[in-house]
Amino acid sequence: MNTIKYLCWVTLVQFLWGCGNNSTEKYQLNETFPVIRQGPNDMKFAFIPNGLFRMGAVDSGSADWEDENIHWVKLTKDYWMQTTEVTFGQWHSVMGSYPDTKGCHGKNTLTIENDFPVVCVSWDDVKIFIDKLNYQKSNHFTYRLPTEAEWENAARAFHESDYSIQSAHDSFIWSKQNSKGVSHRVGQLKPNLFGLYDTFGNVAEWTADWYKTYPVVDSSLNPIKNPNGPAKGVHKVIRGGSYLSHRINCIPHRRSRGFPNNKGSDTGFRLVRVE
Amino acid sequence: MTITFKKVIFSISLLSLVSCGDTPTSQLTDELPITHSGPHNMEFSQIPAGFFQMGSPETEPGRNKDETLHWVKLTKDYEIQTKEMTRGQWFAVMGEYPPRKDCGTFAPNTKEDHPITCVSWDRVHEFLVQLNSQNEGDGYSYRLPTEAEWEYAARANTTTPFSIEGPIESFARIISGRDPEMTLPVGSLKANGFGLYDVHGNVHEWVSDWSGDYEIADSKDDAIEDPKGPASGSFAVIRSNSWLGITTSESRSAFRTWARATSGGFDVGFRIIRTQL
Repeated sequence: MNTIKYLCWVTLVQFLWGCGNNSTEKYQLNETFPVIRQGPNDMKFAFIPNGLFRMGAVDSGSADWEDENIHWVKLTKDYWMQTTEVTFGQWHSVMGSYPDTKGCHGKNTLTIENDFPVVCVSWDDVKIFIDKLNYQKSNHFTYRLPTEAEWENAARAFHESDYSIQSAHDSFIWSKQNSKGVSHRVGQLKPNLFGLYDTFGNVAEWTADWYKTYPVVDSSLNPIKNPNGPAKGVHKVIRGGSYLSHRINCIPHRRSRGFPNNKGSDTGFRLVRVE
Repeated sequence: MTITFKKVIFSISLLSLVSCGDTPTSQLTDELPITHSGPHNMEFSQIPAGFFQMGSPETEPGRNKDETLHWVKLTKDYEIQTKEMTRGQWFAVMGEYPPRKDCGTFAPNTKEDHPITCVSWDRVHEFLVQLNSQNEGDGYSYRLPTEAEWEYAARANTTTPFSIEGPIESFARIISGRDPEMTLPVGSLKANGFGLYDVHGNVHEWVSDWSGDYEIADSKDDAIEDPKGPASGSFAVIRSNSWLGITTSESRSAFRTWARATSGGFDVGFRIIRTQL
């Protein structure tokens, strides 16, 4: 009996893995990507193809947390994601001023320079920024925050493992271990396959979704389509570690969160645009 | 004539009260605690806005590095529960107790007047959503205190390790891991100057902040106003000590520890504050 059960599991797992790889097969990875276009205010956007991916902790190890359970997600539309975090300069060109640092946790370590990622912006502030940007740039693109799923899919860039132990870590992530306790100019380290910089480090990034634990579903046949979180909540999801995070937390699936009216010196954002 | 004279005296004393607005704490201490009753027999103590030094001096025995002393200004009055939230109050709002599995090792003492435990930070927020919607229109907003609001109320204008005088067992339920009763009914021991019970023991208490280093201000002029803690995180701060605590240093007003916001604990409860809308 046990052997049969085991065989069934193995077949099922192989089947699931096979499906997972489908999205990659459509592309000759190194030739197709990155696809990058210029947007307003020196923003650059990378093409992220639609597809199926596994969201959450892939190699379930002891360091994983209970709200990271793996589940299949299908994003049905292509989207474009900003290659870098939004900078102080970009914030200033849209808003006409730099963020108010009053009430910003950790503001003593702040560098306000145009090429640095904008921080000390609450989720509510970001919403105002996005409304202004959409109003100013009324063309066929709409700018918004990524959903949590869009963020993770873009940050993974077809990479299915957890990056938990990576010798090249310091070459693409500003974490507590190499940041010297401050943020850095955007786009200094290696980008991922899609052309995105600083996804796992430098500053943490607000997403559009309210925080909730994931539904417990694990089948590629019945993936969750375009998830966008619950209708209401207490915290907005924040993704990607920051220059204050230990490198073990600078991984694709680690979730953090915050009150939408709170702001800190290590929390910023990047945009997506959709047609 | 006499009446007029009395009136003048009265208005002068009123004026002096108003003019003391900048330094309300010392003036009002004599009159505190002032308490108000809330829903489900919750009792709230009125806490005046004011300045205080949060954290502990480097000379304090048993202190930890994360207690860096800094000035904080709380700009608004608030009311904080004098006691930890009880199981009875939890049930009255939620209609059910937390599942046994959320308690881990220790099944809680099931008496109604004992503090509620086995509640994660997230579950406490489900409670707060319920409580706020059930009491909509009463003019108050109910929430967890920030870490600063908690410490200010727990200190009750003291700068010493504990806010209550006397032997520690007279005001803190700790070092009782072998007692099958575990917790005490809330408010069984001595209260502090603001009328708060169990700020040094019985159960740990969730506050709303993520754990992280304090924002530092060395002088009163630079005091951090209404700090809310780091913007991002997933470990929330817990304060006070629990009946299981084995050292008095974990009971100090400045002591901080933290837990995953998704996890309930058999020795973690909470008390809430309310502010006028």
